[in-house]
Amino acid sequence: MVTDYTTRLNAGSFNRLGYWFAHLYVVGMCGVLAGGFYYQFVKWEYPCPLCVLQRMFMMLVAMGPAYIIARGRKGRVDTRDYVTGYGIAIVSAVAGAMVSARQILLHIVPPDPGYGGTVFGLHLYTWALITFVLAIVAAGVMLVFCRETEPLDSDYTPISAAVMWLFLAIIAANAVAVFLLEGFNWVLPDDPDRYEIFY
Amino acid sequence: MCHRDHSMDTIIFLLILATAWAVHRNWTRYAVLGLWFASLVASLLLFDHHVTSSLNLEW
Repeated sequence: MVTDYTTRLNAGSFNRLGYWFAHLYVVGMCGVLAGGFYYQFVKWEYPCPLCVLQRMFMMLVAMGPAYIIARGRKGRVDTRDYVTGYGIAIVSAVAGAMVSARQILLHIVPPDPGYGGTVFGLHLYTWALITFVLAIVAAGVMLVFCRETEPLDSDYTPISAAVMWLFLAIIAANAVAVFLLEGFNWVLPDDPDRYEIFY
Repeated sequence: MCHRDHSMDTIIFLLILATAWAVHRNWTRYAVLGLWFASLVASLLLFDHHVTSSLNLEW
């Protein structure tokens, strides 16, 4: 009890920000994944297998900070869990960046128009590479300043629960969306042009 | 063309969902790491499945 009080007393603003930054990290990844849904269901573009793979790796990246948020339910997030979370994010982001780089290089030679639509002149897989690089940088900075940012005084609030449920919902929605795309074939066609479940 | 061949995406998404559920329910560190690692390896194997030709580029 005394230790807990002392810990809370020593917890600076940055330590609290460290915990809330994990929320921002997960929400940011969910926002990018929601952007993918916008292109899939509003602009009616069919995600290719490499696009779907990049979504998987984005979820695995967000798994790290989600782990930190969830551990906050027990009170203080210890250093081991904190670095585990951002370690998960970095390893997953490196793997995701490989997929994005592969897709960029597939289409980089002119006059290849690239695959799918663009945002501010860049294709979605290029934005995905930028997202993975930013994810690595953000996780790296948090680890460099681990002493200042590790959540000594984490409050798992309803906002934390909402972020976790948002993350779960995004994953579940992607599972359903890819199942609609694949149908009962368990496989995606080379270049999807319809939702197989309806045929 | 984006690329060729097929995948088992639905199963991997369900594996990732299971990992997120384990995170959400605060399963033990090794259970979470085990599920995350299985998801990561499955995704990498799927990626490897799609990479079947070298890029026609100079390095």
